[in-house]
Order: sequence, then structure tokens, then C-alpha cells
Amino acid sequence: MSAVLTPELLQAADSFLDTNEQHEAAKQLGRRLFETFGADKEGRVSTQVRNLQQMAVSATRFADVEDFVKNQMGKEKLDKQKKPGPWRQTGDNILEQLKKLRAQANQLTSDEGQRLLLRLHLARGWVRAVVGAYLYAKAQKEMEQSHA
Amino acid sequence: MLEIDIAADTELGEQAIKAAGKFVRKHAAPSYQREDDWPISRSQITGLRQIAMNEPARVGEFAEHQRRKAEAKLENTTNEKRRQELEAEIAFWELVRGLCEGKPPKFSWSLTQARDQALPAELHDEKQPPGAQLTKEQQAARKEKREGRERWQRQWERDHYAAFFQRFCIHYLYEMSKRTKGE
Repeated sequence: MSAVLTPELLQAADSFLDTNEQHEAAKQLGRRLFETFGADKEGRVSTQVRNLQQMAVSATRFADVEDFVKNQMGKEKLDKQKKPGPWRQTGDNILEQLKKLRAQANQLTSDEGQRLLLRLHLARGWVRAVVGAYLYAKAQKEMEQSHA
Repeated sequence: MLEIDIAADTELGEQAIKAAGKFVRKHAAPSYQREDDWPISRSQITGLRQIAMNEPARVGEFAEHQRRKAEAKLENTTNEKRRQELEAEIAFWELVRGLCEGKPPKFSWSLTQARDQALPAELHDEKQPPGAQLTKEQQAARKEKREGRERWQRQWERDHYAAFFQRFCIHYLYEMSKRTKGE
């Protein structure tokens, strides 16, 4: 099976990622990821955030990205104060955003092969925006600390 | 891009999520506050996923074995709470077996049904009229076709069982985690 994404479909998908609503959602999620996961030791990007990015970039199935998030959430237990861990704090928001990408791909074409490629294209664009917002929040925090 | 990538992303995955979600909604009692309260433990789910990945043809058999074990325990259990847990466990393994081999009307969808529907036309078995005499060449061609069909089925099962039970098990653990309120 060999589906191909036409320039029109790619443009439609990119326009969707470029909408204000998508921008805002990615920005808020990126910020939330930084607040929740923070940075790793020595100020590096959180491994969890990197893993999410890696998964979205390399997946051959969109479901693998959804499963990655659910799997991380499923592995976490509540702590002694019964507070959920970082994945359980952010996972449902991520899954909600992934669901929107899935719906958008379905709306743009009826060919299942193209839909899969579009979902993956959307996931990659989406994760770039989310990690970008995460990095921006991280940089802001670092600047605040250096000025304090 | 492979057919299995599309299937895992669409119908196959949806069936897995639907089945796990339905089971949890029906059987997860509000009294399951901790993970240990759940009738199917995390390690059993991990075991199921591994078998589906390594020996897909044996998932049904594995489920039947687990069901029998739970049924034997149920026979010797009088505690009402424990009986309910074992009944839920039996229902789980019946569901897993049904998802593998179930037939209508009880199971409107199963992996075996999906596999048989996907079988390419050229591999379908042609029924012979009773008492038909086949030449040696015809017999050899039939044997070759049967072997081709079995190879195709094994490959289909390797791909689809792993993808299906990955989604099923992850969704089950995700639902379990959402409903668990403590250690």
C-alpha cells in the first residue's frame, strides 16, 4: 500500500497547525509540561518530554503516540499524599490534543493511507510546537533566575 | 506504509479500546481502591501482551487456561468479595478468548473473524463435491494452496495479535490507573 500526501493536503494540515487555537493549545501544554516535568538535572530538557517528542517523530502509527502517553500514565501510581504523578497530571490533555489531530486528518481526506500519513505529519508538527513552548518556558525560568 | 499500520491505527485499535473499556466499566467495582484489588493484575496483563507478541496462536489457549484456574478457585471460595473478584477474572479471560476466536452472535467481532475476512481470494479453499476424485496435480496444487493459506494466516496473526493486544493491554492499565486511588 503506498499512499502519498499531495501538496494540497500538506498545506491544509500545516494551516490547521498554524491556527490560533492550535498555537494557543500547544503553548499552554508546553508550559504545563515544563511546570509539571521541569528540567532534568543540569538543566537539560526532561527525558520524559524528549521521549514524547522522539515517539511522535519516529512513530509509524499514530496509535503508538497515544499508547506511549497512556502507557506512561498507566505506569504511574499516586504518591503517599495521593497526588498524581506528572503523566497523570498532563496525559489527558495530551490525549485530547491528539484526538483533535486524528479528527482533523479524518476531515481532510477519506483515504485511509493518506489519513495515516496526515496523522503522523500533524503529530510531528504538533510536538514541535509543544516542545518549542516547553523550551520557551524553560528559558524564561532560567532568565528569571539569572536576573534574581 | 503497511496495512497493519493502518489497521492498528483504526479498526483494530478501536476494537481493542472498546473491549478493554467495556470490561472495565462493567467489572471495575468502586471498591477497587488499590491496584492489588483489581482482579487482573498488572503482571497478568504484561504476560498476556507478551504471549500475543511472541506466540499469537496460543493466546486463546492461554486465556482458557487462566479461566479454568480462576474457575477452580471460585469453586472453593465462600467469601463473597473474593467470589466477585474471581467472577470478574473469569469474565476477563472469557473476553480475551472471545476476542481471539469468538463467533457471532456472542462476538460480532473477533480476530479470527477479521483474519478470515481479510484472507485474499486466491487463498480461499475451494470446496470439492462429495466423492470428487482429484488428480495428483490437483492434489498437489491444493496442498500448496493450503500451505500458502497457513503461512498467510500465521503472518497475519503475528502482526495483528501483537498490535491488538498492545492497545488492549495499555488501555486496560490506563483505565486501571485512572480508577486507582492509592498504592
